[in-house]
Amino acid sequence: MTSQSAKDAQIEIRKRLAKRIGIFIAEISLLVVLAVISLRFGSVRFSTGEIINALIDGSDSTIRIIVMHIRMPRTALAILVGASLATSGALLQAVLRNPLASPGLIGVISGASLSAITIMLVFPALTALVPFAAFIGGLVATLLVFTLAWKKGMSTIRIILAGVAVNAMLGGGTSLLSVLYSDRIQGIIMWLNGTLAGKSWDQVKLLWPYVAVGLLVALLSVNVANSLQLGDEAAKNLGVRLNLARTVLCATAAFLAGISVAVVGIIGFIGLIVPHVSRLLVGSDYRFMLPSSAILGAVLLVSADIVARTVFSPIELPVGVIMAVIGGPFFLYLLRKVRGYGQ
Amino acid sequence: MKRFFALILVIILASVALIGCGVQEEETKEADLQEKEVSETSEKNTSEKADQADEQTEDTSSNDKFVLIDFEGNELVLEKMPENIVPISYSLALILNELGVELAAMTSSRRELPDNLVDITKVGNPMRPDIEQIVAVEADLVIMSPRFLAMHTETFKEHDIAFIGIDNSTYEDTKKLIRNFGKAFNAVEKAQEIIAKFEEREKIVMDRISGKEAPRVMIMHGSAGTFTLARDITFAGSLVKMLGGINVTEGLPLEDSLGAYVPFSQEQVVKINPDIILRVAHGRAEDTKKMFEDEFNTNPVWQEISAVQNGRVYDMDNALFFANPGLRAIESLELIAEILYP
Amino acid sequence: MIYAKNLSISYDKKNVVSNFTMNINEGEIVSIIGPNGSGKSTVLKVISRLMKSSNGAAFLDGSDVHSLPTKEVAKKLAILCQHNHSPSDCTVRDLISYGRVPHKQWYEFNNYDDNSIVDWAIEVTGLNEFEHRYVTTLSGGERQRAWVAMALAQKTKVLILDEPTTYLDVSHQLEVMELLKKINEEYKITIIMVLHDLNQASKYSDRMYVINKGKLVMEGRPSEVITKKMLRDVYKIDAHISVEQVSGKPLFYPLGLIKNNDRIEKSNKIVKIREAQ
Repeated sequence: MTSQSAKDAQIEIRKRLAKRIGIFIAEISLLVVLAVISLRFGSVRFSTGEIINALIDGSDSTIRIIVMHIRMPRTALAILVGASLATSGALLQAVLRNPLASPGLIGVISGASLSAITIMLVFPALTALVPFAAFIGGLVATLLVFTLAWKKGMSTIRIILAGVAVNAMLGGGTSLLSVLYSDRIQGIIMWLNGTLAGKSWDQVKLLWPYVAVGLLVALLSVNVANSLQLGDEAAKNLGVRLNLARTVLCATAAFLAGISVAVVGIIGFIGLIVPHVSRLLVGSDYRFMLPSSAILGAVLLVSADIVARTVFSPIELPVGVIMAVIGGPFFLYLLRKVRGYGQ
Repeated sequence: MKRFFALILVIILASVALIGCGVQEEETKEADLQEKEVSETSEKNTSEKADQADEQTEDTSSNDKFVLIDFEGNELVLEKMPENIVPISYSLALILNELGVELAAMTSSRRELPDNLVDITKVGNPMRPDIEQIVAVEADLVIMSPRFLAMHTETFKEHDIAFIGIDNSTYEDTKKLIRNFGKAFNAVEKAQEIIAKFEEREKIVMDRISGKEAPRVMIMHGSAGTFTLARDITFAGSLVKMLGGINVTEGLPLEDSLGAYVPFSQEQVVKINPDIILRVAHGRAEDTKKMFEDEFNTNPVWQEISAVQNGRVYDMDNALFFANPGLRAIESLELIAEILYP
Repeated sequence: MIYAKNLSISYDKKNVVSNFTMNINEGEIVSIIGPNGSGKSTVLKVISRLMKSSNGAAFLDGSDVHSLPTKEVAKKLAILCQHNHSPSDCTVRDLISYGRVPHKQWYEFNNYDDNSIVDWAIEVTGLNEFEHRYVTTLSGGERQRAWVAMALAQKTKVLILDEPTTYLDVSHQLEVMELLKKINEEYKITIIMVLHDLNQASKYSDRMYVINKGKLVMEGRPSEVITKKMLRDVYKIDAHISVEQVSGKPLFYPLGLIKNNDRIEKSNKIVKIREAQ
């Protein structure tokens, strides 16, 4: 290589890296700003001065309670769940090599829903067990999908088809319960649309260790995820153990989605769209795209939650609907703006 | 330029579709209620308008025609007294039964039935009534909540079965319909008897509470984590209002387009700081209690509210408070009066 | 180096390859030829561990290829399949860097040495000016070179290619074949490939294997393999064989399909006339 082209090469590499890091920093800053907004605004109006005073000298306990025990845990939860769902979607898109892949596809969401709804409708006295039941239900459903998909290995098509089948069955179960216990549906409507309302530090404490583990495993698997993008044969050529890789990535995705659904109910959309947005911004190299997805997922959910609780105050809207309204059009906009994607 | 418009169109359609789906889901789920717990605001408005026409002035015992006023104030006139009456509503069935009206069949229900109704034909729930059974008993009048009736009018018309929508959401609704049933089914005396008993007990209650300070009340459904609040167009809400209690959901934006239950912000609850919290859930009071207990005991948010601090949190029995029980509505009134004004 | 013994391979209970034996020495360029559906690609996939055989075994340096961990095999053997896919924002350099994956732990990233190897692969394949272009924007030949470069970066002793030139035009085909020849000569990398172009196979191979209907028909040097008889029996074509003057390798020129005896008579006549001239 001539020294000139070597220098050019260096510059190119540096430029791309700089751009990616820049976007990263922007995303994190955005998250921080949104978190602050989330604490500052809510369905009850306070001035900034009031809030700061209440926090410092604990004078007004109403404000303190609202900010520290309602808004803070909600924001923390939104960050954890947003990051989990987005990461889950990113991992699945790597394994299934399908841009429509989302946590819903592998059955974890319908499994978690069915378990949670069964308890809420049929055994309401056991409501405290809903998070655990939902989690177990999600994992069992995913396991079912894997088992059905296995035939001397796990091909992408089989996973998708098995997922569709399992979703149909579990969805049928959920509908059946809704009809049989139609008088009790009222209480679970919010859960079905996903909500961060009424969540406290208890949920945060319950969730964060699992999220931490799940995200860590996801981050460590970025190289494998990258290799999978080259196709099955090329990946195998590079020494990737396909079945193991697929199983681990799918399991991690199911885990992250399962714990999210277990705590806040069904929030779709993040797992599907956020990885794409991330890809448009930082490219499809999972070393950057995965962490970026996690942060963007958090950003999206925190924003949606802020809107959900302030727009029609004092009425709370389900956060899932807000997210679709924010996210969809934004994605369309990006698709127009950024060249080179999907060509 | 064209592409730009196409893009805008897609964005609008997508947003509308998504919002529409969300709203539709809400509506379908609301419709899944077995009993008439939900009374639409529009129904309430029309019934308010039709107040004058609500009471049947005619005493139809002299001629053979059958006249009954529905929830909107319109008259249903039949050539002769119906013989095979099918109320697809638990509370309405019990009221008719008490008035001495013979029923051909009634709604299925897991709730307690008086002895003479235990064995009669059951025709499913208001959401999905069994039309075959209804035809099999040769029904000539179906009575149900207007909300659910709307879904089946076509079917009934096809089979030439007369139908009428009777609203039994609030306490006032109950008294009104007992009177109307009495007049329509030639059971005026019995109806008056029942109403008299109601009003006797009502008077005792109202006398006792007169002049007392109105408490701020919150009626919660669901669980501590995901709850909705009942407005005063629900049964429990109507009782509270009748007794002068102030429902925290009063004065909401977009009031006319809201359903009977609203997902409420926890922040507002803290700010409003209700004096009394009524917890109503799916099953019995003990079960309800469990669903809320943990949260109320441990979460500082709930601990901050005066209702919790003063121990004025009550778990309400589903049977008496989730839906208007009809005949026992007076019991519900008495119970709530005791709670609001001890 | 690579020894396939009595391979029998089936797809969905259909026997695709039976009793195929192949022995390849270090530093050779070997091509496998045969009609469509004869089982050539299948053999490649088995010896590169992409597929399992139902009978028989494939050995790499004496060890059964299926008993070795996938990663070990990836360090010794690289296979380049027909259809390859890279993400749309993957640059040439990115793609080639993938070649280092078998040498890293699953959580490791490329270090300085790895980058030098990538530089080397770029140099060898002459892709310097394309280093930061997206792979999907390259021409067919350039793209193929990029994938070969990735295989090079794997630093394996064996490179297996399944129809590397099938979709390329003449000049790009030459580009790729010359590149393969160069890396075989300069870096002693053993090359095994499936080719459709018989003359290409003849020109660049040390030895050839002919497979038909899943069975080994013959093997040997190009001059032994490219014969009228082979072409007639295996490909059902009548051809004229000559010897290419510079390389001494056989060249075939197809004359016609063999449908019935008439045809054979006719073409024989033509050949006789030519020879007479």
